[in-house]
Amino acid sequence: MLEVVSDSAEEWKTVAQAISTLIEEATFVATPEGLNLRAMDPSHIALIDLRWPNTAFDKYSCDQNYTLTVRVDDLLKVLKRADSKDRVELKLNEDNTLELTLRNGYERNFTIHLVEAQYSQTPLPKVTFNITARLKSTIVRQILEDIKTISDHVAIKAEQGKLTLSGKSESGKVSVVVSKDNPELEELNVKDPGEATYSIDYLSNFSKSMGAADSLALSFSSKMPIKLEFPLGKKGGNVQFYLAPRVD
Amino acid sequence: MIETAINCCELVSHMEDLPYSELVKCYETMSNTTRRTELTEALVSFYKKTPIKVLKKATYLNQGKLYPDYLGIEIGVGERLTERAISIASGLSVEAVRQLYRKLGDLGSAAQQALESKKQYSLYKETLTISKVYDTLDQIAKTSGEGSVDEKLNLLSGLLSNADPAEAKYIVRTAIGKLRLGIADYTVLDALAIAFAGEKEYREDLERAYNLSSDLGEVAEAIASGGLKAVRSIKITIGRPVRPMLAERLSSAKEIIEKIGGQCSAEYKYDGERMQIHKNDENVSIFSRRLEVITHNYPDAVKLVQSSIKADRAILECEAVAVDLQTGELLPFQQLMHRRRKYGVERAMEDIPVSLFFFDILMVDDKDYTIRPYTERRKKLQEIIEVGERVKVAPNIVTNHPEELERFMQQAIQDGCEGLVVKDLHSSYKAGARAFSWIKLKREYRSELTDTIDLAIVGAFHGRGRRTGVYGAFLLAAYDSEDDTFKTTSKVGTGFSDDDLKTITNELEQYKLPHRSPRVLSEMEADVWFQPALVIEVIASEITLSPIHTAGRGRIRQDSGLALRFPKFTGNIRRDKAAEDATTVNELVEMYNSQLKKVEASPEELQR
Repeated sequence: MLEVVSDSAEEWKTVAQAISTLIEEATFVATPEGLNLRAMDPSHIALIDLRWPNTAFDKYSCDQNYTLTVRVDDLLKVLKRADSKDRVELKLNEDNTLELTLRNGYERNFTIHLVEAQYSQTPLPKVTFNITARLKSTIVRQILEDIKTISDHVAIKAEQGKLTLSGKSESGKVSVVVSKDNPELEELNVKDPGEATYSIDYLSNFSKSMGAADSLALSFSSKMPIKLEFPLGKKGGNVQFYLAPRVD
Repeated sequence: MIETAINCCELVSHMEDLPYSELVKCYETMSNTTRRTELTEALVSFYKKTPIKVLKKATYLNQGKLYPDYLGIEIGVGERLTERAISIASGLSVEAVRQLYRKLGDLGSAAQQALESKKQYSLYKETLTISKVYDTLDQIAKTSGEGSVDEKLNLLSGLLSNADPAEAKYIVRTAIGKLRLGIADYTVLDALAIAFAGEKEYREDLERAYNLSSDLGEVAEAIASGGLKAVRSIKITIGRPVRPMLAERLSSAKEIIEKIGGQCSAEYKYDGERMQIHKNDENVSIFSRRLEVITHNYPDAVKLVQSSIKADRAILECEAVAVDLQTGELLPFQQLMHRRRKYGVERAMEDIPVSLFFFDILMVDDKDYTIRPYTERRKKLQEIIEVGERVKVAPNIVTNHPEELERFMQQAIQDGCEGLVVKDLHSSYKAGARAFSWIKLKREYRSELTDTIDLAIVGAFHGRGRRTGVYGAFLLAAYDSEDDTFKTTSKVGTGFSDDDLKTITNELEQYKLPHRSPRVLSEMEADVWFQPALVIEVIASEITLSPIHTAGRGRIRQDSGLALRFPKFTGNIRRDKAAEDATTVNELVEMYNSQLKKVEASPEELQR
């Protein structure tokens, strides 16, 4: 038996958006403790890790472990019909379907078919992060857009007290410095200065999908993957993205 | 190649599987050798390493395929999509990948170079195994419908992201259907025999099993898991094509009779599409000579089989030939090619229906006839075929006289055939073999016709179908100035529009005779006879010798006249010419002699 009720559809919308940046079929693992999802995109360049504890829901009943695979597009379409203030009820039926009820004044009842899939959990990359920072998510989105005008990828460099994000291509170059006296940079911790380059498309898709989050935590090391961590709502939910670096 | 900095763990590889890199090693060895024995050795050492569970998959992959040909399943990834997949996996732009492709001329090598200069690391690298590569390509092949392009792209880029550059080269070539290692089926059989039976001598058993099943994967699995016993138990089966028996070729009737050693059966060799037909009650499957499924191209043939084969289950062989509705004459092979066009089948069926000429039988009601002698097969064939207008058994004669064979040959050519296949009366059906128990007799020379010729209409045949009420075909004659007669050389029914037919029918009315004109020499019986007066212009592919037409009889060969092969009306009625101004017999003879050329067998013909 699995029944999950959320007060607002907003978090569900965010989750579906975030997943859709990487995969087309998503397998949620429901345990009595909460809902989780971990998946890599087909080219193994990026990974999403969702942790959504039972405390984040209005009602959460789950008597055993379940894995449920849905087509992300199916989920997105239904959730597009929901207003952020809608109440969302999700129920796993015995005929391998997922029932989604949206309530706000009137009630809409959707049933979507689950997909048969083999599931094996991907381990998280073992990376030691030498650099961690916390930033306002709006400035991150702005900077990525700035750099995108010149380049498809962004080099992130961390020194004591400041982060430099830059891009270059045949058409020119661009760089943005965010230093500690800038209020948008809430925290910066540099154990070992370093630099790495990442694809902007992935990064901006992640941060756009998590647009509701006020701030984000960023961790990386020289020539190693980057991790972006966003809070999901205010009751303990959390979405992390890992992205492998580019050569540069 | 750059090692992934964070290759922290390799995802699990499956038990009873083999890394794809082993297969790549074998490919590399094979592409660096020109010696067949080394090809075989490379395959043998690969097969010895391969777990039984993935042997079948590896065997298909070696052929650049996922299934035996007859299932007609192709991986079907386009080059554009592959370029995008390489771009995702390598981090190079699509344009950069395309440039590599243009420079190298091979998308596989482009993938290899792209991955060598890989710009994007991945989080994990999964060791590719044979199953992983096969299963992913299989998923790509089976994905269809809405959103399938994205899914194919994801699957392929996922595979390439985990591939090292050399693996990527072969994965890409396989995906776009251009693996082309050039490993002959028989080299694989050799390798299987050596690897699993210990000796090449057992090749014969494997070959037999392969010829009956057309499935290398199945043969490989059988020998590896059940040894020779399992291989020997592979049988002819409905739904699975048998590799066709092929004919040798000799150029004279005398040689053929000597080679076969006396009595033989000579059958018409049609210029059509050779078909292997599998009938399982109402279910009919048709395979081409290359064992592709062509059932969908021939719905009319399916109906003919359903209504005229008096056996519940049977495997038969026939030639499908396009037929001119009006003259009943056979049309050249090219006409059938319209059937290959995707949407033209319905039209093609109406415009150029096929007739089926059956010539062999391989299985009837679960009894294997391939092991029975020719005469018994031919007898059974005649028993179970209900001959009709469009279903026939290929005509034959049994003889041991070269002259008789020659005459029958001319008859065959004139009837629109390519020649004869002469068969040993005692021979079994040797699947997949080219042997001297079947010998092709084709013409050594042909006289190509490039000019148009003008001929007098001396007779006509009533039209059928859409041409009811007008004439459907005409008997044409050349003028012989030596004895002031008209001698027939052609029956023509093609090239006429509906208006042409109306006009000609009306105009001919005034020349109608109750019987053949004494000035016309003809052995063909027309429905209606005319006084030679109206002249029309025709073209034809060539001038052939004919036992029935009277023009030039005896001038080239005794008892043979000259005829037009595949004649066609050009649309010109030559009202400016009197019948006596028509092309003369002397001119025809001259054309025949001056345009005579030695017939070289085309590569396709040698294949057939």
